[in-house]
Amino acid sequence: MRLRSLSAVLGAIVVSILVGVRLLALFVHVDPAEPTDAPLLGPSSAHLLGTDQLGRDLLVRMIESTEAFAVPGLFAVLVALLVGVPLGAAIGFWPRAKATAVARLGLTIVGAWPRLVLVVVVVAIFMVSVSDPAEWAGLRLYVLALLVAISFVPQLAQELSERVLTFQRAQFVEAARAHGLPDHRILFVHILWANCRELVLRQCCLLFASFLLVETSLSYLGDYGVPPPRPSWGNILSDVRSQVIHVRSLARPDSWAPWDIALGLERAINEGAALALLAPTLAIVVSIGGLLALARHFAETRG
Amino acid sequence: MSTPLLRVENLSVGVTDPLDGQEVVVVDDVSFSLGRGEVVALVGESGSGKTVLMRSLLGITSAKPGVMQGRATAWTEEGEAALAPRRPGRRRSLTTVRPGWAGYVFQHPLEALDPYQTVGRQVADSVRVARPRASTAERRERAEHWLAQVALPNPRAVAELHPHELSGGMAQRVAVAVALATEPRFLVADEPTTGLDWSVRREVLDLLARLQDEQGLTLLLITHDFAVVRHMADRVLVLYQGRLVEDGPRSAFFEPGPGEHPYSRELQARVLALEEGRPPPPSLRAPSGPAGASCPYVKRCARMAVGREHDQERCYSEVPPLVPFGDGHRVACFLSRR
Ligand code: SF4
Repeated sequence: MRLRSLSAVLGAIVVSILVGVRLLALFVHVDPAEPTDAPLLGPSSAHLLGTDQLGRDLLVRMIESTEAFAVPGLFAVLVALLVGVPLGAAIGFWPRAKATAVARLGLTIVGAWPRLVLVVVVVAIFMVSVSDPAEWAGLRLYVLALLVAISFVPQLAQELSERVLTFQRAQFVEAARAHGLPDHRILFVHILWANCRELVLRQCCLLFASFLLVETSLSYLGDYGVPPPRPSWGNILSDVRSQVIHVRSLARPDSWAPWDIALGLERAINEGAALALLAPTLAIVVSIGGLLALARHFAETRG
Repeated sequence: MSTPLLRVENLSVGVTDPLDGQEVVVVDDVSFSLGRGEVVALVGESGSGKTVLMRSLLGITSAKPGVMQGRATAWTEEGEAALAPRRPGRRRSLTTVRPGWAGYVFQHPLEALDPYQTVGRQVADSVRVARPRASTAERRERAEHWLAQVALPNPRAVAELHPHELSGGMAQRVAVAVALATEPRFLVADEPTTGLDWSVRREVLDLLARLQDEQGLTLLLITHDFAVVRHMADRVLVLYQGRLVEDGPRSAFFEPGPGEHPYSRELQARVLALEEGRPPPPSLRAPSGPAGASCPYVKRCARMAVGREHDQERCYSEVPPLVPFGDGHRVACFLSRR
């Protein structure tokens, strides 16, 4: 199979699994935050992936984790499209307009911020300024999504505008003008729809992957991501981390030497943390890998 | 002359050189008019400004920003429309008088088609210009009608193809169909036969002639190819370094005599030699840049070289105006005699 179709197939499989799991979550009626059994059980028919250190079903938590990024991720894509596509199209279509120069400058300024720094700073400000953080917990993910989307807009608009500009100068566009086709039809149908579709789709995949990464990273780090006890692949991982540290401190109370941490890891795995470590890691790697493969597919078909 | 369709008065076009930002006059004080239903050939060597002249009128100048001066008047179904050319993009061009009133067939038909859309959709898009209220099905039907008009076999199948699947001759026909589908009154064909083999060239010319006849089009052919001129043109416009040096009926153009412009003579000798397979007669290179206050052709002119001294001085110090020579024939040369 050629690489191109391989990446398309991989991407399609991963995306359909993600969608499937998200739909499945709608039918799971177990609260992922409530302990249902003894802690740290191995896989069994009652708990396919076992339980975590608080006795919560790991599979349920894994499935429910998709809630943290599915809708907010799509929201981020939507925002980026609504802002980035018109901006990019306008900059490319009217390259000499004064407003274009202003828009370019604005994009450069926004684009100069490292994504994670922007996100952390703004979310921190947001959390300090709301009176009751718990009440805003759900909204936090959307603020996150908004920020990731904004930080993505410069990249999207830039690539799109370059593409639009090359087509704006193409002879078939001149020809269409000569035949009296109105500008909006040339721009929307001949340039954007016919010739920039894959580029935009590719950027959507990258944005979704990027949001997934930011969300799981922040959830792993703790304060800014999904507020526990709600699950995220990121905080499932960080639970394992705290368990490793706990085990290490039982064995060698004050040592942070790497071999002692390795020992802690080994013991934690022996105690049943292996799946809690493996499942979210695999989920993150496979999801992001699949989205990148899909993006690659679009890049290779005219993206 | 028949009812007028387009009159151009003192049109000049300046183009900004992308390298040094200098303004270069590419079309210099050109005046002519076209009658309804005429077939006119615009000839001249490469760089003489033929393409720029017509493109500026049609408003296809996005690639080369330039400045236009002069006036042009078009007679459309709705009446007279003055085009006041100013900056590109801001002026009224022939395409904004009524969208689709003028059609343009590009020199490289493949580049003039959207690579990622089917031929049928592109023709249907032009149909939309002419008939904004037509339904999608009607548009598709019209598109197939036009593809059949340009003598493409099996138009329904061709409509489903993408441009890269077309041969050169087919692409040229499709380009003509795209232009015709806007139902223009005026069609400009830029080198319609370059790059096609002999048999296909003939077919494309016959097609243009037939369509011109059936649709009552005014046809302007920008061309190097004298076979095209001999075949089709009623009238010939000769452009040299951006100036119109001769405008006359075909017979006057091809008939050697003291009345014609010496440049027309040289052009014909050149083409004749090429057609017969002889090496073309040598010529001095044309001086570049604006010719200033002399006849633009002065450095290459054979007639001036044998003229009297008094006349030679004039050739060097004045720009010869385009003066009528009777019978719709105009020549810009001091030494032309009846
Ligand atoms: S005006 Fe003089 S230089 Fe110009 S074409 Fe006539 S004879 Fe030649």
